[in-house]
Amino acid sequence: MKQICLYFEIHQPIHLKRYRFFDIGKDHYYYDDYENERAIQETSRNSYIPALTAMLDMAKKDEGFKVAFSLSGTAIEMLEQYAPEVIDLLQQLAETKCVEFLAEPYSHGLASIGNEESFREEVQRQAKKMHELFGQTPKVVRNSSLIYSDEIGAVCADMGFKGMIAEGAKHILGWKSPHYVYSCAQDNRLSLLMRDYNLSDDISLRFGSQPITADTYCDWIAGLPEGEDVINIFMELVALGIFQPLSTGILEFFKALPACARARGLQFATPSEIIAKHKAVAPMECVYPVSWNDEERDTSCWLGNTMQREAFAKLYDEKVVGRILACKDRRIKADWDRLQASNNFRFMTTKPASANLYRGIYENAFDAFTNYMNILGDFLKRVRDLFSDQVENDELNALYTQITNLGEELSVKENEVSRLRARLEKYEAKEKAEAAAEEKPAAKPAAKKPAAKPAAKKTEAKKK
Amino acid sequence: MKVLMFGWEFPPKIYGGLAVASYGITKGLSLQGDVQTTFCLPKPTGEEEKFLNIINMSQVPVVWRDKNYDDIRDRFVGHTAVDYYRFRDHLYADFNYLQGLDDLGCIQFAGGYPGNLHEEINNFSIIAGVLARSEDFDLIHAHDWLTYPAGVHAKMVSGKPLCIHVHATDFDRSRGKVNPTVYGIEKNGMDHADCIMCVSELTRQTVINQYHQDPKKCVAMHNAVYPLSEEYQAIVPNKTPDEKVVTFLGRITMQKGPEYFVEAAAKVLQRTHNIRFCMAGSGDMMNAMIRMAAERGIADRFHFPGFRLGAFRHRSSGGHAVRLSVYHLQAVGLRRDSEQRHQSGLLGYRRYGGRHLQHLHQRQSLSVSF
Repeated sequence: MKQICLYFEIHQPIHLKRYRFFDIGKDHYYYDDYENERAIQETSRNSYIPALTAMLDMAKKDEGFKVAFSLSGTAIEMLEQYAPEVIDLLQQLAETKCVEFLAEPYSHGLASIGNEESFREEVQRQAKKMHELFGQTPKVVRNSSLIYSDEIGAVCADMGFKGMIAEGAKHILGWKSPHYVYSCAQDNRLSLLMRDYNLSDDISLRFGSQPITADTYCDWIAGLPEGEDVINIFMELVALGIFQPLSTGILEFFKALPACARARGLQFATPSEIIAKHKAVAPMECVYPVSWNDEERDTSCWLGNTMQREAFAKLYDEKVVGRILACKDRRIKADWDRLQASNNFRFMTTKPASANLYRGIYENAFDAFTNYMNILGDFLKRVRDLFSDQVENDELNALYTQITNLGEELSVKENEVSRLRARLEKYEAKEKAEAAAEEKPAAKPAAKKPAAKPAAKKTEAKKK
Repeated sequence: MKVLMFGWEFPPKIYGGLAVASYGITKGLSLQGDVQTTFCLPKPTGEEEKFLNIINMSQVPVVWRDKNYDDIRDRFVGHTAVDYYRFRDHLYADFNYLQGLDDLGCIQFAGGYPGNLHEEINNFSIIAGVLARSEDFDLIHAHDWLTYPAGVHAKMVSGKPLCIHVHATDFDRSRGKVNPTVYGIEKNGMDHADCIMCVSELTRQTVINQYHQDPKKCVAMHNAVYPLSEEYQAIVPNKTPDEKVVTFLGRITMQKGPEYFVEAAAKVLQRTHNIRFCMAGSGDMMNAMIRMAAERGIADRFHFPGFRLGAFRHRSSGGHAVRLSVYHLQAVGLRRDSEQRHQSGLLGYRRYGGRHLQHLHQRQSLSVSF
């Protein structure tokens, strides 16, 4: 039986403001609040809310509709602040049990290529956030823009994820079909779901220009060869409403899908269900990172030119990452998340295909780069100011472990002190009672007290 | 003495250093008291200072048109309608074949440095013929190669001595790979000139050696300096205690050698970290410089704040200024260099020895040789 796996990405970057050279060292707020509020509210109004409302209806109708989402941490923060009704809708969807939430790096950044430690930390943080919001601990992971390579897969497997979703790029699939489950070439515990970019782009890119009906679409899926049972349709949620405006009738198409699918014996399934049901047919070799962006399906739209690579190298400098992970400064950590978002790098692309690319507040790639580097210049200075430049990351970690250990030791001691104190009080109470029984003058217990305390201290000191 | 001066730029509309230099020399002459300057500009804005007569070359007729005074009275910027009739009485040839004549019989200029610059230069010299016939003057003064043909033409017509002012030669602008057309215009202007004023000794040597001029008629005439205005002096430097700022001030173009600045910055940043470099201004090499800073891996300490605003505010961040030309440091930038000197140290770098740093404050100057 063929199963359709629907997955939607929910991500909005936090826009950076025009940050001048003269602000360096003086202004540590980097964001364009107006643009952020406008962008997220417009997106919610035109896409997220209508699309999620439709899905909630579909899930409640009980036609076997299932869907998966992942939210980037920055998107959650923005939604919580500016459009909490979207979070409400997602929570209602989560209650229907038709929805699975996936893990992804919190910042929607390139940490998977830049720094493994930071990548792990981000994924875990985002998974925790998913649990807090929706009561599900993600078992399947997706990287920012579906960046995937063998190494990233191995890291995810090591973190305990059962599956990961990746781009079904022609150059890694070769003659193979994306309609099977594969496994990571470096660690076969991790199953891979490959995106079918033809069927996905039929909706997200081409629906307006080449309209199709849900019947035709399901016919195509039903007409796939025997054995090709996993159809992965992954896209951004903004495909419903922004890439394809609501006036194209995309939501009507979408609402008709479950009925049409059922008529042809097709099922919906979440990534976890697919991974549980289907065994991996073969390992999937992928030496260089693939992604779902551009025709090349690689990382060239973020790291294609020298400017992007320079910004990337400065952002993921080992010393910098070590310091940020070690520090406890919440503002630095929040800024780090927002500066990492891959969109910042996308704005700097000079690829010919990017001629009409949306560049936010920037005029061109050079403008985006100089503005980002001004911000990064300030941010890196703040990070350097946290700890002396001479300290190596290892030393820093050692110091931190020492501090945590000391803290633990202290808490142990504190417990001991309070226990002893309790015992002492008991003892005193007893003595008092005895004294009362013997009906001796009231001054005596008071005189005894100072004598008892040094004794208790002595025992403490001994135990230390 | 009456001077007929041809220029291409004049404040408040500033494209480059030429405007400021033209302003400086005319202002200086006006303070002499007995010098009257008539300044010919392709396209004045009408907001120029009034100490000299501005002639708007876009409104000097080269073709006779029948116009009623009352109809055109209010249309003139720079000179007046009365001047217009005087000019119209001195037409010297039939220029009806020219493209772009307006109803007054004038040729329009775009202003600045448009794509058809050579055509505009030619038109400029055609109009100069009319002026030379209608104006009364003792001396012709032409600024830079754009106006040399006009100066030569005026000299041919009037027989008055021609003084040309060499702010830069094409050897400086192109680092030796001259544009033959531009070189031809420059050489022709110098050949006809009775006096060649060069802005530096280095430029004078270039004129003598590359343009084969008689050293006797070449003089080095350095640009002068204004003390900083009170408005600038009132700014309290707002220094960041732990970081120094080194600024490049100028157009980001080949003539100024911005790539040397980037290389120098990369060398400095290999050794120390508490310095930021700032390339203020804009220009045709800006994007290349952004890429270059990225390639050298110094982009987090090398910033591009953009045009003008940067130059102004740099003073308030109180760092060092680097103002330079590859060939002749003081020739182009002296005025602002010396202003900078009032507030901060100054660095330059040079490729050729010579006296070109002579005007800089010795204790505070530093030069990087390549």
